Amino acid sequence: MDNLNQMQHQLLTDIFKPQPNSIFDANGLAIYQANLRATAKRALSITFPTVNQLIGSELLGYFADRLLASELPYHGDWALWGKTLPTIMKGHPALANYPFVVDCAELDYQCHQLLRQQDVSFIHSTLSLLHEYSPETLFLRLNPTLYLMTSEYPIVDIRSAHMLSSTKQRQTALRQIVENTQPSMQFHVMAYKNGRNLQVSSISKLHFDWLTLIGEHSIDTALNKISNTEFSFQNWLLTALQENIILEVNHSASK
Amino acid sequence: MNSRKLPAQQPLIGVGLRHPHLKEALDTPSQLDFVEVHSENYFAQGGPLHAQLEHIAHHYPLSLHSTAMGVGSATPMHDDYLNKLSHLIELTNPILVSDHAAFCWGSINGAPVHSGDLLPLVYNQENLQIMVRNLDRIQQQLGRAVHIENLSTYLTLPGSTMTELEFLLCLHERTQCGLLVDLNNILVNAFNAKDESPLETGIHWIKSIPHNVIKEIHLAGFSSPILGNMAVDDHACAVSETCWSLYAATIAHHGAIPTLIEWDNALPEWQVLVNQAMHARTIAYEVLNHG
Repeated sequence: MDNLNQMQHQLLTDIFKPQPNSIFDANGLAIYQANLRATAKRALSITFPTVNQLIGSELLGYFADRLLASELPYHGDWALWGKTLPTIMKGHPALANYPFVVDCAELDYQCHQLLRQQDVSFIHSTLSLLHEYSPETLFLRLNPTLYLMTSEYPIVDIRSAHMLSSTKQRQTALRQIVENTQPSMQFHVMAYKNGRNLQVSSISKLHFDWLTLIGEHSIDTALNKISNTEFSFQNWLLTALQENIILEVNHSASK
Repeated sequence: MNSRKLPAQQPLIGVGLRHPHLKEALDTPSQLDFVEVHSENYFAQGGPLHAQLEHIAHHYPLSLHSTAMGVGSATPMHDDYLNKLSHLIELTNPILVSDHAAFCWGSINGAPVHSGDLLPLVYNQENLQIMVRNLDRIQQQLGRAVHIENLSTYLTLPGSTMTELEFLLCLHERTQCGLLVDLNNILVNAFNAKDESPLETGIHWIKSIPHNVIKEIHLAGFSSPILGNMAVDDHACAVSETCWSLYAATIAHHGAIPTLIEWDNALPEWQVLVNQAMHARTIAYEVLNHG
């Protein structure tokens, strides 16, 4: 089977990494190469809808070509391809005036992936543990789809702006966002699946820090580490349960 | 699950269902007997796509048509891919499952790669043996027959010792898989081979297949190629007159076989697609009832 293996290997190589003097018919090879580029570009436009709106089809096609050279698809599912697009975009001269696109790409990719994950909801039977044990021994397991990120740009607002239906609305909204953004600002983002649907929102630094802490420590330790006295665990817990941010309550013996 | 009762000697008629048509397909009553979706579009473990698929499967008998199994690959497919397909089949209980006589999996400089396209096979014993091995594994894991579709190809790999059809018939004999015959693919290949009579070639192709081997028929159109260029199987227009003629000949020779209209790019209005399906039904009815 080595001959066939070698033949298939050679065709794949010549499609993905075009080179002169291929043993295969040039016209036929060109069709497969064009198909690959078109499919890759289309896949990116689905996985990165905000980026697609921001940079347009032509530039997206350029980045699809670059990505194909460095990140080979290997799942048989284009939806899983594109993880390193933000890395490729970072520092690229074509985006010099639009540095926020890189963070938008990261958020697009994460949203696309977490939306595809299994639907989960809070395990109500674990709620009683809150009354049975002290907070030193209790942990909150957060929604496994929860994704947190920090950006210098209001990427949640940019993402929302690009869901507007008309081009004019989108451009107006984006212009306002850019005008209202000050240098050295920090924006905290929370994205997760609530049931079958995606929730993406800007959150305060306090909320961001709390989610980071409660994901790693017992309730008691996390409360001790959060320095802000304005934080109300009871209020947060109520909201978190309503919004499906928590998966379950764990006792330390079972964690 | 829909359980439409059909007149005797009528094939099931369906269409390929793509996302932009989803709402109309679910909201508008139609005379369709089944719809076909691309399996890989529903590989997500949850989310809105899952909900959509449940709705589709509730409204229509479903056919799962894969484009990425790469059954002819010398490099075996990933377990992960097969597990996802297996899960999808459990979830939807499809009436048909199919993919192509193509290869997709391999490596470049030691790194695993999936072609993202249907790449041509070498029609020889070596590739046949690989295809049999892979298809046996797939059919065993899925617990059901997988129908294999003939391919539109744009280049010929050296080393073939038999025709595509001989290859497919050998595959059928050794694995008991059914054939999904894409009539448009036969015509695209004939066009690209500069065949002077694609319809006659197609009819000869069809009549060379024993009865009861074809389990599904695909009908589609392809855009007119720029002068001198090859035709590409782009599924971007209505079924051509030649393809309708070939369909009539196929039904006349093989009888009622589930038939699907494929239209994947430059999608028309939903009703246009449904009308194409109804035209297929009319042809089948005429051929089967009035000769």
